[in-house]
Amino acid sequence: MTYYADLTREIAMICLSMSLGNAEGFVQDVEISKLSKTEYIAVLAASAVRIGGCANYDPASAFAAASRVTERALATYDPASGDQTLDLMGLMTKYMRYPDSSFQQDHAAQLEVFEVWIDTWAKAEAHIDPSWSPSDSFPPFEHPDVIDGQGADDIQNADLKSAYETHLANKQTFLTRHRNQSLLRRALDQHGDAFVRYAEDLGKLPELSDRLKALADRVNAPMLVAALTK
Amino acid sequence: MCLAGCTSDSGNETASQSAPPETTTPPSAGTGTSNGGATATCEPFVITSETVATTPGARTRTRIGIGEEVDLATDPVTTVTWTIVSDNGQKGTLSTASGSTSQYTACDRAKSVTIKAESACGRTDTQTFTVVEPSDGRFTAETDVSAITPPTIKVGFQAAPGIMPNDVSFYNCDLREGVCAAITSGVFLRTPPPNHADTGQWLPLTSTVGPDGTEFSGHDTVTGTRLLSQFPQNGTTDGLFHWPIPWRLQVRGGGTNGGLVFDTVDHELTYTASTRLMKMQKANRSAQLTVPQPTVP
Repeated sequence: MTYYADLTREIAMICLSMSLGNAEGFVQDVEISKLSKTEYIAVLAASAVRIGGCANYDPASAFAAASRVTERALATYDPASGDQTLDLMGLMTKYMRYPDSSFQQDHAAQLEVFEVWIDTWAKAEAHIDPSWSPSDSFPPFEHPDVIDGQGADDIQNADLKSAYETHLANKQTFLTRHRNQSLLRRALDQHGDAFVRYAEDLGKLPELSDRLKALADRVNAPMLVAALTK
Repeated sequence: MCLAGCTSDSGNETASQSAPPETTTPPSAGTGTSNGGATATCEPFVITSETVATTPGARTRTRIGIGEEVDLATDPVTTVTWTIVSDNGQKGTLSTASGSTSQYTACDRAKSVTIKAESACGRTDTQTFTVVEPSDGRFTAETDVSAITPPTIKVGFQAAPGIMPNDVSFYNCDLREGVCAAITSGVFLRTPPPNHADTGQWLPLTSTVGPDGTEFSGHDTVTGTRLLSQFPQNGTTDGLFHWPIPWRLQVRGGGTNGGLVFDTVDHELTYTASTRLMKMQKANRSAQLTVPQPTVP
């Protein structure tokens, strides 16, 4: 059992056997050094959702706690990672708000939060490789003495084994890129509507229109640019 | 209080925890509203649901794949407390427990899960979801890549893996092939038989659900390559190379199902000497070629 798997099981119990204070303490006590950064962001994401969705906690306090966990993720995530970006955007669109009822009337604060959203969006767009296609495939290793998909250890011929090991290493690189590019695109697809709605709502405030138009220069997605410049 | 954002135009509330904050008229004082205009009066309400995945079928479906996300709301818009009935930590999660909307993320094992919404005055409604595990692995329509390029013959196809059933979505899941031993005989006999290796990493599925289920965006190229000289003129020896490959699925990020082995997908290369037919089959797809008779020098 890995530390990450242990944490996953403990997160499931957050709403059931932990007070809200204990739940936040649990998140703070996570040993980052024992996790990959992607695992750490996944732990923060799962914890925030479990806290924010817990009916046993005071709603406003739970929401504030989930927001704080989201901010922790925001300060830690790697924008080049599709997994982390997808997790973080999910949290942002749910919890990236000031835990303060005055937020609704504080348009400067709303814009400040939206600038963080746009920053995350722009970073995700910057890491999308236009040369990648979801239908790309990795060619198989074609040799009469090798069944593509087998392990390299069963190959006796040293030269053939070396060539096949190189093929396997290249395939892992291909699959890693495939995953990352797939998830970066999914993050933008899945959360684009929330960004557009936020932009359209802020756009109703004439005093913000110039600053929103300035934000439009940072992103490429046509539907978001349109919402920012409306 | 509307921390997570709501819009309320002409009373047509579309509050959402994932929507932007209200920038129009704030909720009226004294109405008991606490979610951007959502009412806390004691009118009856019903839960409405819409899957995040736009396919397959209607987004109001309540049969969902493991890890699927479903947007929940109340109609008419009512501030409620959202709970998972008999929550034991293994039934999925709600994004928020209070408000007129929430989002349910399904658990990672098959279950019937009931979501309950209760208003401040005690009105309730429930919505039950049937969470479905993957049943079997398939491939989408194949492209034949078979070719004879002396001194070798290659038989196989290229297609995208698909995960059944096709009436739910597994877009929020990752796929992986596991380790297995080979069974070999005849002209394909290998000593020792090579094991199939683990994929090495989890591969994300897409939101595309076709006849063969939720699809992986990339294509798998399934081929068997052999020397033509392995198939002598008038030979009578058949051949079999068989990998029973375990296919595993997990909700993205890991979950707690341990990488559920949901199917054993047969990867099988066969040769029938009487017809000189070499056939590559994996799951529901195949390609074949007739091995030409050797050229007499």
